[in-house]
Formats: sequence, structure tokens, C-alpha cells
Amino acid sequence: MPEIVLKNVTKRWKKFVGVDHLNLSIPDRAFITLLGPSGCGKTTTLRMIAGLETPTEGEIWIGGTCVFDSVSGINIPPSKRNVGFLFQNYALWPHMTAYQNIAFGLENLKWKKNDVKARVDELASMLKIEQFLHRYPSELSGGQQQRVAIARTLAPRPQILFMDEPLSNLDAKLRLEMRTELKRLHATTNSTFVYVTHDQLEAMTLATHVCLLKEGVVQQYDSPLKVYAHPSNLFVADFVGSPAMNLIAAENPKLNEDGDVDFSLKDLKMHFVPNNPIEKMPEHLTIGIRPENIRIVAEGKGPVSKIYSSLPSGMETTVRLDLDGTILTSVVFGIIDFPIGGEVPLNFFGKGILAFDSTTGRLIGEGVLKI
Amino acid sequence: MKQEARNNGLSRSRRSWNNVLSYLRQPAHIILIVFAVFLTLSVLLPLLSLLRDSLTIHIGGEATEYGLSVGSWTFVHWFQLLFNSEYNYSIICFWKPLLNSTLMALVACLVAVGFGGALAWLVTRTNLPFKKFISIVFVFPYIMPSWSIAMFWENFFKNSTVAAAYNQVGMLEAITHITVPEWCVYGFFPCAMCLGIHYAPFAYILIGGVLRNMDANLEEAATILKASRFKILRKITLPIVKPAIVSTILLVFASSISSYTVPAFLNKNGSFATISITMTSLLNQSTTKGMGYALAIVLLLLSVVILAINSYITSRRSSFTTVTGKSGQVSLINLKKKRYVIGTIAVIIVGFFAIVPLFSFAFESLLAIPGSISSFTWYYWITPDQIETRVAGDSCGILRNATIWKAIGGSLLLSTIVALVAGTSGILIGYAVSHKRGSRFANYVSNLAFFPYLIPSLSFGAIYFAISYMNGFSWLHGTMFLLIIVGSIKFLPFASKTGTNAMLQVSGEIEEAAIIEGIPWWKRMVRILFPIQKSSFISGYLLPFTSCMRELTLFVLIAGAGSIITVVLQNFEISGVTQISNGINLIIILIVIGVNLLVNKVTGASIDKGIGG
Amino acid sequence: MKKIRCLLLSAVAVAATVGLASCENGGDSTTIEATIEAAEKMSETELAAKAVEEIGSGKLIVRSQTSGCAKVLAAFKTKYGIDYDETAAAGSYKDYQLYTALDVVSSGQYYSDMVMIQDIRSLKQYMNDKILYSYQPGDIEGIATEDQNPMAGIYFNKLFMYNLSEKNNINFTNVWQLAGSSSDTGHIGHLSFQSPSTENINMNFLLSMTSPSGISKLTTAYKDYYGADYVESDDYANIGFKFISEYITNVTTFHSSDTTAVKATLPADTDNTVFYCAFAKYKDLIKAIKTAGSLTDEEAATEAAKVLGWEDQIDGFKGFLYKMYPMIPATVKYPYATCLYVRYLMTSEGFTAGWGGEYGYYSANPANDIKEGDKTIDYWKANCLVEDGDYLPTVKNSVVSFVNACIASHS
Repeated sequence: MPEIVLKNVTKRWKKFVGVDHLNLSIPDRAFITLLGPSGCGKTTTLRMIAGLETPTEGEIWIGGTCVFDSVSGINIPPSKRNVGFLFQNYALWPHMTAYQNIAFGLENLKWKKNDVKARVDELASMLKIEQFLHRYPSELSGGQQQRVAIARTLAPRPQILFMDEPLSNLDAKLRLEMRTELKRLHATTNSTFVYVTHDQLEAMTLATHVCLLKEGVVQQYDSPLKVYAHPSNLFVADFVGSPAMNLIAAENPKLNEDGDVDFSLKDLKMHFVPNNPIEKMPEHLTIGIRPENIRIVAEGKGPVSKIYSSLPSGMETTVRLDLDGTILTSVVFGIIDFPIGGEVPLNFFGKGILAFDSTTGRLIGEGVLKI
Repeated sequence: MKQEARNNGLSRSRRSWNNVLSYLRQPAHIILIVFAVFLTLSVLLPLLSLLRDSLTIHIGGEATEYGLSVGSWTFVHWFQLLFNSEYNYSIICFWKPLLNSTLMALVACLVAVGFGGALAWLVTRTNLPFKKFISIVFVFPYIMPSWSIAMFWENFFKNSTVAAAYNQVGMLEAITHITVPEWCVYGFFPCAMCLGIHYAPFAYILIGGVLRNMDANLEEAATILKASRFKILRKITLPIVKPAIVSTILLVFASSISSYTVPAFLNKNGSFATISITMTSLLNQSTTKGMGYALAIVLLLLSVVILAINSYITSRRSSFTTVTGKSGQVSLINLKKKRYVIGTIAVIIVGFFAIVPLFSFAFESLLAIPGSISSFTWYYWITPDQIETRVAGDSCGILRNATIWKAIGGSLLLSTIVALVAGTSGILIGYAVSHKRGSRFANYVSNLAFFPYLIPSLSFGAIYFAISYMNGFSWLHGTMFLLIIVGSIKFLPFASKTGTNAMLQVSGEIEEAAIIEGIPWWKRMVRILFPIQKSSFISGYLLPFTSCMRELTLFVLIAGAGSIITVVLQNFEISGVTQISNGINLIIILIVIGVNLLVNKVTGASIDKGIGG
Repeated sequence: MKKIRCLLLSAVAVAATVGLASCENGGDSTTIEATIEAAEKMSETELAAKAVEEIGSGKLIVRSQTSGCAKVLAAFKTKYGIDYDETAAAGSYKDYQLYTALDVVSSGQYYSDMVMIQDIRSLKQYMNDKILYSYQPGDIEGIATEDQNPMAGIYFNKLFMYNLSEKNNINFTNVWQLAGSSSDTGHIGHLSFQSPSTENINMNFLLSMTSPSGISKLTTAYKDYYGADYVESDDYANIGFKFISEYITNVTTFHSSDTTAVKATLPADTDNTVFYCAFAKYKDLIKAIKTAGSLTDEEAATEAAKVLGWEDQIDGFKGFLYKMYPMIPATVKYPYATCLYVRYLMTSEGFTAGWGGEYGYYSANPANDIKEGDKTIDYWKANCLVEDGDYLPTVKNSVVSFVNACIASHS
């Protein structure tokens, strides 16, 4: 049962470093997402594991076998690595019908004609593309093409499936549908999925582990909820979560004897109590507050803020509050709307307030915020 | 009442006028109309005239031969051509040469596509070494006149066992003592090979262009699905490249089947008659001119059949766009240890046919007695003596020869203007055709733009020569303007094919993005569409330029003495001063190569760069 | 929209057909004939005066297959002060190019004042169709009857030649050595001949075998060679066909250029090859030898004479004699000036300016000089097969078919 290990994998093009000393271990049957902004090296990493790209340095192991080693010169071609690859633009062969596209891999494996037909029909009904099997790709819509591509990739039952932003070309509703399908597929096929995306929501909802990359360097590699609740640095904190985390620069931070931090936010005096005492006070401090940890309270229970904007989406409403010049984002559940310019008091709740070193971006503490 | 209400109260003529206006608002429609009219006049009319000539009795002996009066309509030419069994005339003059020519053209296509296509694949898809050298040098055989390749082939392979070559010792025997049999020196095989080599650069450019722009993911997807490299080539790459291959075959076949100079040169043992030789000899004899025209029509029909096949293939459902505006990184196939072996073989073959002939020409221009090294002299380049008074104009050494340099200037001017006119027209037609793909109007213009290629050069030139004597057209006679018109029309097909292919590869969204922003049409062409497919378009300019610089048959009847260099070359060749004609040949080739390099430096794109080197 | 398009295109097509159809209108032939007849009767001074008056400041357009005409024009201008178009004179045309061009004359278009053209077979047809006319200068004496109407401007000959080097030992005495089979004594196994499909004169040469004079020469030579009379057989219509067939079978190489053959291939040949080439190319051989060895003219000439074998006495014929004709198209602009020019090139002064002093160029006017060392035109007329202007135009295409069939079965 394959497990994927990357050791010190680097990819350089002349002077530009795409992936920098990447170490990653993907357990069997995991659903890993490689997440990050454009150009962070996630597609490159994916292609390197699949064998479509050759790393400059490092080792790659799949299922205990070394498929690449820059030192000893091993480089097993992609056709021998027993993987499946779903391309961002589907790469359907335009001169073949959907049926022929899906059947191609099976014919290469020398399956009997009847078996091929059975498998193609099975996938077609699973992905609901039965009536399109005899059309050419140019005659299919984006969503239909995407499903044909998935069927093609799944047909030979690969143990590892690589997907390069496969949903980015679809409309929102279809995207949601397909996300569900992919998650179910993962459960039913028992394969390892490695999924590249820049959409953090996708990464969070689908994966068992998320690997965040920035400029070729791994920022954090954890389960989605851990990444959400305990981001290891500012970049991760900011990238994950929608709406994004509120990051406020703490003015005049002072470390108390019992490890608490006093700081001010304009006129407000704030007090941060970390769960574990902070050893050393960094020069500049940033406090991160998730929107759900800011709530609108009854009168008198907190400082007053002005409503800057209100975006109701039916289930919840995203409100932006102007607290004495600082704009904070909050989320309110329920079918409710707020008038712009209205005044409401707010307060901070929850035990997951985060403190970061502004210079290095590292997380230094997690705890409770009091005014 | 209801009818009026439905028409919004507009009268019928008003509605038609609105329809016309909205029709004309699309640039694609205007282009189609303009070119439809122009091409119909300049292409169909000569065709009709050719047809008429094959059905009438001409001056000069046909009247006596057939007992009919001059100018009368008759089928006798066709009958004589196709069904005359006296001494097996029809078989000898028509059916057998037809078979010979068709086979020769097919083999030439095979060689061109096989060699050019393979090289294009190696250069774009693998880590072959020496790519830059191969890309630059590979175009040379096309730049050389086809008869010079034939001449080189003969000089190389003739040996002491070949009686038809006077048992002279050629280069191969001199260096390696290997003698090849006669069928390797004269006849079917050498003709097919020389034509194939001459047109291999076509295949390289067209197929390489598609490969370069093809989405690499398509092949990668097949690799992941465990297709062997050979299978990928066969089932994925080739089908996608098929339109380019078909275009190449079309071009190469039409050129090869009507090639005259190569079979005329390589037929010293009289064993291989082609239809072009037959046609020329029929046209040259005044009692068989009608048959010659009939034969020209047959040649045309052959190529029309292939054109129809091409249309059928490209209009089928399984055709597609392959450039979507997303850039893909091509990962090259690693040939590992074999790469240097393959690379060296490629370099040797390419260099042999591209560079060695140049040295051969240079040498021939420096030897007073051809073939004998001891007669080396600079005489033919630098002497102020008038070497050959039978030649019109100056006949002193090449470097001092005012006639030669003036003619070179004339050729450069002609070729440049023709390239600009044909190239731009090709892009415009490509734009219109790709936008209105599938409409019958677009098909009509597209096919019509290709027709001039199928009309044999000799007939084409002769027809325009006759036109220049008609009432009202005599101001055309002998002018450079006539040459420009004839050249632009004759070389439009190259440009139109590359323009259409290039435009078909660009997905509509790219232009639509610009349309939405309100960018006017000419700006869209110049700032967006042209730069994307710059390399393909520049080929569309360079190909007519190259062809025009070395074209003789087309212009020989209509060019004034000394106006273009190929006519001057022929004069020296006829008068036997082969040293000068070889020297001029060398100069022409070097000029075209130089222009290629210059365009490369200035625009960053050229015929070879367009495919990546 | 479709309708408008269809209308547009049909309009174009109709206009075109009408345009094409309107292109046939004949020229006025009777006046040209009369003018030429009048010119033939004038004396030189009268003609000169009329010519100068006629042309005024216009330019004479002369198109020729030989560049010598341009030289003659230059001398003509100096003598009579009549100007000429240099571009037209400078071009050297092939015969079929000129004939194709002359077709426009039939529709009344002006093409040229004079054309110097060969190939009697086509020429006679054009004369019959009243496209080309011939002018006989009345006051030049000694021109033989066979050289008149059409008047011969220049005589050329193609001979059987070979390399005189020691390695060769050709004993060429009878033209049937080039035919027959290899079992005949003295059979010449190597023959180099330009293909008739690319060279009209060679086609005429072969066709002339079946002409009356061809048949008679071949019959006599046959008797001398085989010792017996020729017996008519069913295989061949006459002895001319037999010779054509065997001759073509015997060709080893169909060379592509006479000049290259004489200049380069012949001097290097050691295989006893006989070359059938234009004798006028002899001077190219001399020039090549001169340049190669940096010799003087006389030295080069001596060397060349050691190489080229052409003076053998051959039973039958030594080669083929054909002419180039100065003809006047029906739509000529300056008929008198043209006649004067034609007259001029028939005189010694004119002829020498264009083609004098070279091997292989002869004038029908016996007063004109030939190259020293060359033979006179009478010698050639006696020893070569002469282009028969009465016979060749009557040759049907079937004989051409026969020639083509022989070439096709050659391998």
C-alpha cells in the first residue's frame, strides 16, 4: 500500500527556485491538498511526484520504492509509477470521443473489449455522463468534459491519483457538486489523492491533510482543522479561513510577569492571556482574531463600533465593523441584515485568539482576549 | 397589418439595407468579399482561358494536322491525348508519364513528411543536441532551386559504371570507391528523393509549428495512462498533427507533380518520362499546343482532387483548436545516451543536403574546366573582360557585373513586395476563413486562394503574358507591376495556408477579450493576434519571399531582360558560362539565408525559430 | 445575403466571359504584304530614306533567339541613325517563348517589329496563318533559291563530334555506324544526344530522316555500309523510320545542354563517345581551354583543335543544317525600317558585326565571311542533312508519336 515520501526535493530553473528542499510524507489513503497562492510550486511538486517533471535534487519514494534519486540517478518514468493524473484543462484528446478517451488507458493495459466496455459504462453511470459517451470533447460543456476526464483517470484504478486544480474551470454550483463527488470517490476507491488548489475552502473541506506552500517552502502540514485553529505563521493564518482572519497590530505591547500581554488598540486597552506563558516578547506583535470570535453584543457589554458594511448570504451575514478606525470582520448567524453606519457594540470571545511575532510571522501564543 | 407590425414598420428595402450594413460591419465578411472578387477574376479567368485553349484549334499547324479551321471548337486535343493508340501514343505521352509523376510525387511526399516531420518532432519534443544548427540549416534545401539539388545528386552519385553519365567518376566514388547502380543516379528514385529533400523544410515548418503549439498535457495524459512512446506518437501526436501533415502533402504533391527541372535534369538515360516533361514538349511544338493545354488541365484536376480530400478532412467533427492561451511547459523526452548518436546522424544528413551543395556551387564557379581542380581561378568573379558577348548586358566577372547586381536588386524588390502582399493577404484570408469556418463562402475563398498553386507555373506565366497584350491591359506589359501581380497570386497559397492554420489554432476567446474592450479591428490584428502567432505569420512572409527569389519558370515569359536575377542566371546557363551561373546561384542562396537571419535578429522570429531551436 | 453574393459572382463571371470572347479580332494583313513587296523592289538608298522618314524618333523592337542581333542593331544605328529598344534586343528567347508570344499578333496586338526565330516546321505554319512574313532584299546577289521565302538569316549546323585523345580510336566513316547493332563492324556504342522532347531542332533532325533527301542519303549510305540494297520491311514505313528507331536505341546519354557537352564532357571523354551537338559551341570549348590554361587566343585555338574531332568524311551526312529566320510579324509598326534592318544583317558589314568570325555561324549570302578554318556553306549543304522547309511542315503528329515511342522503349 503506497505511501509517498519526499526528501529534500528541490526544483531549480537556472537561478529561479520553484521548490525549495521540500520534505513531505503522505500516508496511504490520505487526501492531501497542496495549497498556496499562484507560483508557490504546488503544481511543480505534483508533477515531480508523478514523474512529469524531473527534480534538480532530492529523493522521492512511492510505496517503499525509490522512484527518483538525484544522487544515484534513478528516475522511473511516469508510465511505470502507477499513478493517475487529472490535468487542470482536462487534456481530453480532441480527436477521440468521450468513450475512446476513457477506454484508452484500459486498452493500453490490454483489457478485453467486454471488460473495457463494462468499466467505461460503470464510470459513466457513476459520473452521470452516459449520454455523452459518443460525443467529441469540443461538443461537451466544461462540466461534462471534467467528468469525462475524471472517468478517464479513474478507469485503470490507480492507487494514487494526482489532481491539478481540476475544479477551477467550473461554475460555483457545479464546483460544490463535484467536491462532494470527489470526496465520495476518495472513500469508495481507497486510493491516495493528492490535490492541488489555490482555493482554501476546497482544501479545507476535502482533505485529510493540507500542505501549505509559499514560494516553494512548506509553511504547515497538518489536518485542515489544525491548520485552521492553530496556524503556524501569519501567512497560514491569513490564507486559511473565509472570511479572512482579522490581524491587528498591537501597539505598545508589554509582557507581564505572569506571561500575559498588555497592549493598546488606539484608545482601547487590551489584555491577552495566552494558554502557555510567552517566554520572550517580540518587538512587534500581531494579534489574530477569527471573525466568529468577534460578536455583536448587547448595549454596554463592549466598545461601540460603526457598521462599515454588511453582506447577508442567507445563512449567515458577514459584517465589517469600524472600531475607532480599525476595520474588523465579524460573522453573524441567522437571517439578519445591518444598516450601514449603524452603531453596535462588539466584544471578543473564544479561546482561540492568536498572537504572532510580526517580524518572523511565527505563532507565539494562543489564548483569550479581554478588553 | 400583422406583417407590418412584425416588421416594426420598416419597409422591405430598409430591412435589406440594414441586413447589408450589419453584414458588412464584420471585418471577416468584408475580407471575404474583396478577396472573392479579386481571386475570381485573377484565378478563375485564367483557368477558363486554359480550358478554352484545350478545346480550340490554335495557330501554328494544328489546322493542317486536323483539317479544322483556326479557332474552331473541338475535342480532338483531348481525344489525341487520352485515346490515341497509334504507336501507343496516349500511353507513352500521357498514361505512363501520369503514373510515373504520381508515384514520384507520392514518394516525394513520403520523404518530405517523413524526414521533415521526424526532424520537427525531434527538435520540438526531445532533448536532441545541435538543435540550433539543424533548425537554421534545414531550410537551405528549399531555398536552393530544385534543379541545383538534382545537379548535386548527379555529381555525387555518378560513377564509372554508369554509361549514361559517360562513366565519369562522381564524388562518392572518388572518396569511398563505392559505386551505386544506374537507377540510383537517374530516373524515378533520384527524382523522388531530390524533390522530397527540396520540400522537406515545408513539412518541418508546418508540422513543427503545430507540435510547438500543441498542449503538452495531451501527451502527458497518455504517458500516465501507460501508453508506450510509440503508441503516444501513433494515437495522440499524429492524429493531432494530421491537419498539418495533410496540408504538407497537398503542397508537396502539387509542386512535385508539376516539377519540370528535376526530372528534365535527372533523365539522362531517357528511362523516366514525367507528365511535366511531356507537357512542356507538347506546348513547345506548335502542332501539339492544344494537347499541352489539355494536359495542364489534367494536372490541375489531380491537385483539385487532393484539395477536395483536404477540405473534407479538415471540416469533419473531429477537428479542433489547440492553442487556448494557457502556456504549458513542455517537458522534453530524454533520449539519454542515444541522443548524441541520433543528433550526429541528423546533423550529417541535414548538413549533407544543405551545406555540401553550397560548396559545390562555389567550387564550380571557381573552376575553368568543370570537375578539374587544377583549373582553379578567380577569373569568373573578378575579371573586367566581357566573358560572353552572346549574353545580354554585362558579362564580366560577377563582382564587377552591373547587370547581375541590378538584377539582384530587381529580384529583391520584387520578392519583398510579393512577400508583403501575399503574406498580408494570407493573414487576412486566414482570419476571415477561421472566423467563418464551415460557411460555404469561406470555403470558396479558401479553396480559391489555394488554386494558383495548382496551376503550372509555365501556363500561369503564359496566360498573364497573353493578358498583358489584351486591349486595355497593355500598360502592364514588361513592367515590374505585372511581375508583382503574378508573383503575389502564385505565392498566395503558401501564405494563405499558413495564415489559416495559424488562425485556426488561436481560440476565439483571445480576440473576444479584445472585442469586449472595444479595441478596433486593425488594432486587434496588429497588437494581439499577430504577436501571438508571430512565428507562424512570419513564415507566411518568408516563404513567398524565398520562393519568389529563386523562381524562374513563372516569370520567364513576362520579365523584361535583366530585370530579375533568375532570368540572368538562365541566360548565362544557356550560353554555357556555367561558372557564372553557379556563382549567381550561390549568391541568391546566400542572400535568402541572410534575409532569414536578419529577420530573425530583428523580430526574434523566423522560419526556424518558429519551431524552437 | 446569399442572393447578393450569387448575383455579384455571376456578374463577374459574365463580364469575364464577354471580355475573353471579345479578344479575337484579326490584324490587317494585306497592307503588310504590299509594303514588303514594295520594299523588296527598292534600292538601298530609297529604302534607307523611307525607313528614316517612317520611324522618326521611334524605336525599333527586335526580339531574337541569338544575342547577335543586338550587336547588329548597334552597328545599324551607327550607320543609319535608327534607334532601337535596348531592353527588347537584349533578351534572348527560346523558340517556343517567341511562338507563344506571337499568338497575340493574331488578335491584332503589336508585339515586335522583327523576330529572329528558328524551327521551320512551326514557322511555315505561322506564315500560312499570316502571322509572319518574309522579306527578300532585292539587290543582294547570290542567295540561293532554297534560302528564299522564308529568307534564311543565319545557318547553323549540328555535327557528330568526338574527342581526339589517344585513348579514343573512333573510325567514323558512315552514318549507319550510329544505328545498326553491336554486331556490325565499326558500330559506335556510345552516343550522346539531347532529347527531342526538350530540343525542337533535334526533333526536326529526326523527322528529317523521313524527308525525301533524308531517305535518299540514308539509302546510299546503307548500300555503302552493308554492301546490299535496303529491302523494305513491314516493321518500318521507310528507311528513315528504321534509322530513327535504331539511332535512338543506340543513344547512351540524353544530355541536357549542348554547351556543357562540348565544353566539358567531350574533352574528358575516353569511351569513344560520339556527341551530336551544335558546332557553334566550338568557341566555348576554345574559351574554356583559354581560361583554364591562361593561354592566348591562338594557343587556345591550337589546343582545341587537338581535342575536337569534326572533320571526318562521313557517308550519308555529317550532321544537320538548320536556319534561323528574320521574320516580320503582321502587326509591325515600322515595316520599312525593319526591312532595312533585315537587309543590313544580310550584308557583310551587318553579318560580321553580329556573328562574324566564329565557328558554326554561316550566312546565306555567299559574300559573307566564315571563320578561318571552317568550311563554306556550300560544303555543309552538300554534307549535312538540310532542314527541308517544304517537307517538315507536312509531317503529321504520327511521326512524332513514333519518335516518342522509340524514346519510351529506350532503357
